[in-house]
Amino acid sequence: MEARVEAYLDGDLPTEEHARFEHCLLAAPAWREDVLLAGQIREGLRALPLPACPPGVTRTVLRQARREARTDWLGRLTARLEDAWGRTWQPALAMAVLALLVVVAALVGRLPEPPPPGRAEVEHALEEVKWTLAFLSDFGRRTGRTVRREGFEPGLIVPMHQALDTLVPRRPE
Amino acid sequence: MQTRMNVRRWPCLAGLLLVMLMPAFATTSHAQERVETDPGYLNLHPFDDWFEADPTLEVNVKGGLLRLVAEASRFEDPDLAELLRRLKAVQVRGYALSRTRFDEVAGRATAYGRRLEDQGWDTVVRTRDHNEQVEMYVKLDGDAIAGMVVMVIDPGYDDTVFLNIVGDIDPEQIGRLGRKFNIGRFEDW
Repeated sequence: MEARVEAYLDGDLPTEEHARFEHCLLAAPAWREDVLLAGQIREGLRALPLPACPPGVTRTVLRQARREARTDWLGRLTARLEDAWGRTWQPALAMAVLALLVVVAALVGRLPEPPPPGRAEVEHALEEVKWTLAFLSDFGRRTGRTVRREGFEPGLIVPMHQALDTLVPRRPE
Repeated sequence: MQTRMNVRRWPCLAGLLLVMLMPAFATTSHAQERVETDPGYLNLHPFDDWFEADPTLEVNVKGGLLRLVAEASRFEDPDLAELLRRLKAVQVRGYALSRTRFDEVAGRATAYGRRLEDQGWDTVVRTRDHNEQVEMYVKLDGDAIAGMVVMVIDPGYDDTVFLNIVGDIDPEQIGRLGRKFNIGRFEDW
């Protein structure tokens, strides 16, 4: 009912309902008094002087509104960038880093080779190798002689010779 | 949708990139295969610490230089070229040794020889008399000789010699070829 009173006072009721409401008011004096009181309160409030807006309120409100709008815009932009970064640039960067690592590893692995040796160096090396082979050959001969002289002869050949001399005495010349 | 597909694809692309670059890595590591990792190789530099002076004799022919040496001797001496092609390194270090230090160095050489035996080298020759000690070791790779080490401890200017040959070694061929060359003081060459 109160909502209908407000609507009546505001003039928001449709024509038919407005007429029916006034008809009801004629039949119910208590309601008529309520409506009258409500109308007086409304008129009294409208008659009150409007308070002036304190200085700075408008500016503060506008600044806050702009800040919220900017925060919202930045948030949307950041979220969009993060989304794009996560989906596109992060894998691309990972691939780039991987490729860089591979290239660096390959370059480090392939250290620059020293320049090829010159002809004189090769000939000198050939002489060194020949000397080494000659040394080894000579070493083998000397070692063979030593083993024969100090191993076979005193340990094997001489005892066998003596044993044969004992078993088969030499015939006098 | 397109972006989402890219997200799913990028690990695959990374894997593909790695697979494509594998041969480059393999080539690189193969190129880096060095004679120093060969089972028949012996680093002769530590012997410098046994002596008071720098080596009086040094031969260090390996890798590309050894291949060039083999190529250089191809026409003059095909047998030598064939021998050198199968070798990977020829290295010699000779030192001056005074008679007073003979026993000490000979003892160290004997101990070193024991360590070589522990590392899988076989002793071929070990002789010692009052003024010379000779030791020879070989490293076998199956039936083939992969490396040879000779230690000669002999007082003199450059008569104490440490020698290492790496590669497919035929001692008979080395002896036969070496007989063709004269041995003298190294400076005479």
